[in-house]
Amino acid sequence: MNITKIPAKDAIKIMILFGMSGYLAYTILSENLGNYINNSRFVWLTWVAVGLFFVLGVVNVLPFLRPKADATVLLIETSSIMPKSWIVMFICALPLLLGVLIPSQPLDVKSLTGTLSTTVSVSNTTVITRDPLKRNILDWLRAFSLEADKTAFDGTQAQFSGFIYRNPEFPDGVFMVGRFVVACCTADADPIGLPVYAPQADDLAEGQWVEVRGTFLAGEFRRAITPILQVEMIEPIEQPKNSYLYP
Amino acid sequence: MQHMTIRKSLIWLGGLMILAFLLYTLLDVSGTDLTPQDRINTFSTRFLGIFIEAVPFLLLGSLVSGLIEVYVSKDDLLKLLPKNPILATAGGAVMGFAFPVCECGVVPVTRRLFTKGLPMSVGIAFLLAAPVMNPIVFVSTFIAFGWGEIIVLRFVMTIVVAVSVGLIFAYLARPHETLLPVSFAPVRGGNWGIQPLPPQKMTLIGGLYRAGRIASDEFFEMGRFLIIGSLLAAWMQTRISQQSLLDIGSGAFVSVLVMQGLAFLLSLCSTVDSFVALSFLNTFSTGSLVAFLTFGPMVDIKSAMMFAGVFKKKVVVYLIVLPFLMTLLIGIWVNIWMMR
Repeated sequence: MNITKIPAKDAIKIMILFGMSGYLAYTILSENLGNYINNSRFVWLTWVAVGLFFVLGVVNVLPFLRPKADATVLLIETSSIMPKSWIVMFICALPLLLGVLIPSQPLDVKSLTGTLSTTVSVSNTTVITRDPLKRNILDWLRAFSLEADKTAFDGTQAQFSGFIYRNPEFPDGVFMVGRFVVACCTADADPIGLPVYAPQADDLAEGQWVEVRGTFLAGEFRRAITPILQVEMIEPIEQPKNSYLYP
Repeated sequence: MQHMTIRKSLIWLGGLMILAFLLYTLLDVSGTDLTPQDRINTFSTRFLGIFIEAVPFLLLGSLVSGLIEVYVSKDDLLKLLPKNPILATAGGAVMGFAFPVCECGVVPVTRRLFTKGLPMSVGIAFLLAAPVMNPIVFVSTFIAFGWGEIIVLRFVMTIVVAVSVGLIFAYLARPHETLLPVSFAPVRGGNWGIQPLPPQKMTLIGGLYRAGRIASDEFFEMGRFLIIGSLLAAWMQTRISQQSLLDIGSGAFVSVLVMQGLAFLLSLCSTVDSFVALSFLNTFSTGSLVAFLTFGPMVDIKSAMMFAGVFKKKVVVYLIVLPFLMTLLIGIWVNIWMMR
């Protein structure tokens, strides 16, 4: 059978379409998708993209798998007159190139362009029902927003994890434990954090992930009265696979 | 001819200089503890985040565009539209409920509808309104804010702005002054995408195959603008702190400007921007939140780039400036009205 030869630009186009499908499928299966988007809510959408890229790849390769005469008819019938310059191909291949060449990793302390926020939004209906020892940083900041009297948390036990954020303006022994909150994708990633007092952890580097346990005591932090965790236990941990919090 | 070559060379030179500047500012880590590799990692994560979130919508929009090309005839489309231009434009603004697409999908669909002879005003109203006027965005806004002034204002403001801009184009612009030739081919005696086939020859499989071919062309055509827009948005987010924008101010006027700027820079998908707006609920005025939720879906970095693939440059500027000024004015009015 005389198979039609694939022109270079069509070959690249087909490779980009199948490449995107494969790259996105790999990102989901390797659990790296959580580095980019809120995968608890949108993983299905990425599967849709995997399927569509694959189908488009098949549609584009199909004419070239037919005997030459048939393929010529099919290609003429559906040939595009749009410009397919090498620059367009290169731009469309960029996500694939960046995804493959740069190791996948989540936003971390090195991604910060400012500081960690201690304010989060709460609506009238927000209720924190989670057990205090299982609450994450977002739960605690929401609980603080709902309570006008910040001393109400004095003596409350808490345990949570996050990365260390240090700032020369913080008092001695105080640093923040932070996480990124991602509603949709990294475009809206919001870095939040809680102040902790742990002079015993001065040797832990910024960016190190830690699990902390302790008791809250209201104190002045960034010119406001805020509950500060008085740390009783701190231990370095591995960065979790899903490092973002979802609102 | 020589004049054109010089002009083209200057555009290339300008583009390369901008690219060099962006790369330099991205990799410049002086005054920080970071390495250029850290910056590249953050940039790549932010870029891929935006791209991976947006690309399914672009693909679905491209597919709808392909299906419209194959299965919707010009006569079908024109039969459905009211004869009165104002009613037809209003119809365009709510057409998103029939073609639920977000801002990444709406551009290829609108371009395809233009090639089917959709009037300019209706297409513009659809282009600006559809990312908000669709069931998915209605549900996400309702989940985030509940029933109240924000959801009502978001949808009313979107209709007002989209219909107004649409009507401005209806009375003041002609298609050949507005669209790029590639979006306007049928009128010039051709069909830009696919060679026409006699309808009676088309089988179901044949039709779907043709729709798929058109969709893949559409992906490359529009995808490049989405990718350039996502690269710019990722650069902004890697270099400019969101907090520094928010620190600028929260007055009745400035807060609206800041939130419009944020909506443009973040380039969020309209289906999820409500959840982001929610995080500003306690710090920003209602007018500014509504401006964020109205202006962002109409115009942001990536959609502005995609407009450039359909419309002439002057029109792209109008499509950015008119919604910007209208949402600004309405946002300020809402703030003043709420303060009374």
